[in-house]
Amino acid sequence: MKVFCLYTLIGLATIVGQTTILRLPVFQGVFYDLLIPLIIFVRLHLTLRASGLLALTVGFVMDLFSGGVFGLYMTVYLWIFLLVQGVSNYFNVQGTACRSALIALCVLGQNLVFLVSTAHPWKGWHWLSAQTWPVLGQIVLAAVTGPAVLSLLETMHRSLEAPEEMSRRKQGRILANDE
Amino acid sequence: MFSKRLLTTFCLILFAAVNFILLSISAKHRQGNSACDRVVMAGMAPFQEGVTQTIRFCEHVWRHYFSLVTTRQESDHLQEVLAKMRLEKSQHLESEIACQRFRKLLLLDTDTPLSQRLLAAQIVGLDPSIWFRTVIINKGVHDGVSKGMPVIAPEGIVGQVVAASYGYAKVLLLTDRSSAIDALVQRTRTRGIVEGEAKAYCHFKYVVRKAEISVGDTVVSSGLDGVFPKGLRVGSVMEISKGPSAIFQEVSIRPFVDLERLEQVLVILES
Repeated sequence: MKVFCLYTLIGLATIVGQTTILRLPVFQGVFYDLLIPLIIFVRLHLTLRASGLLALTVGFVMDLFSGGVFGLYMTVYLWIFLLVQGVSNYFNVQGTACRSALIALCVLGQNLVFLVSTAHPWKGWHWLSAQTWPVLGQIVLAAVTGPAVLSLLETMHRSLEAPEEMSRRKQGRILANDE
Repeated sequence: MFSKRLLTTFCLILFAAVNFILLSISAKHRQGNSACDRVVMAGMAPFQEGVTQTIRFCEHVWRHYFSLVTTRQESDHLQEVLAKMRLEKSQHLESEIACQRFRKLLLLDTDTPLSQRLLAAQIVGLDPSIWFRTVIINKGVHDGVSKGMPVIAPEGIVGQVVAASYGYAKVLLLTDRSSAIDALVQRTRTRGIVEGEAKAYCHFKYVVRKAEISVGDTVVSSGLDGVFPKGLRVGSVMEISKGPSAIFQEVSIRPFVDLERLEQVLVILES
């Protein structure tokens, strides 16, 4: 529960950062959705229920702050969740290359879903030209920095788990001594 | 009876179908404003406001204390501009008095001044995605803001309120692809619809081919959409192209308001 709350807080803090600092003109819209590495991470390290709930929670909040159709972010995060579940069954997702490809794929997928949701075929496609470079920038940045973000989260997760593990071991020893 | 793989595929297809249906329903009943939405927005937006204020404070310190190199030249230039503006103001004042006189002569009701119905608000958050153009402002239902209210800046139209919580509201910018404003060219009174393009500029659509329009013309709201009052500045004509057999002209307009660097806006509480 404590770990779940902590990751939810990290998710909410990421949302605040993404809707303020990372949308400054200086970043030119090339920063990808940082919640994607978080969703991937929680799916790999937390239980199915906790990670699913977290994906839905952050998706709900993102939907509230976004101008798109309500439910779009929840949809994207749920599909990312399922994709990670599927990929982790067949591939070793501990490798940097695999992680890099996975995050880049998720960023591309998210942008494709947004493209489909905003596209009006009868209005033409000329407007897409303005989005091509930012999206490509996002994918490249995600592929380059995504594994590092995951590693950072893992380091934090290990430091969180260490005291809990120690206390569990201590309790185990005490119980063994009592017996 | 069925293999596990087949069952998984079937479940995925079913999930995708349900997902698509739910999204379609959500798109039809766009921007619901339930109590839960309002509570979450009211809980999160103060943090956004805090971060935005911190960024602005840093910018303020930088602009006012570190980059004062060209201040003297700027001051001289602004003095000149101010002198010109004063002259223009006196001319406008004369025009306004004349206009009021004519209104009385024509027995028309005078409109209430716009300034009495305006509410100043600060932008505290921006849309997290590059595909949508919305901002969060620090005024909500508590301050009299409600869905559908027009939002402007001194330079022109910004957008309209699409959702409001207790102390915050979400504003759809005029550059968003789902935004549309009924507008006309100030000089020739040619009508059309200003639609967002998810870029820095908008399209002025349904302008008939024979209509006279040129680069630099000012486009203002027509007041016919029932959202924006008549005469609010939208943007200036940037580019015109006429296809060989098209009925309408392709007109691009650059909004007067720099939406990328917008900090304060005004909400028109009654329109």
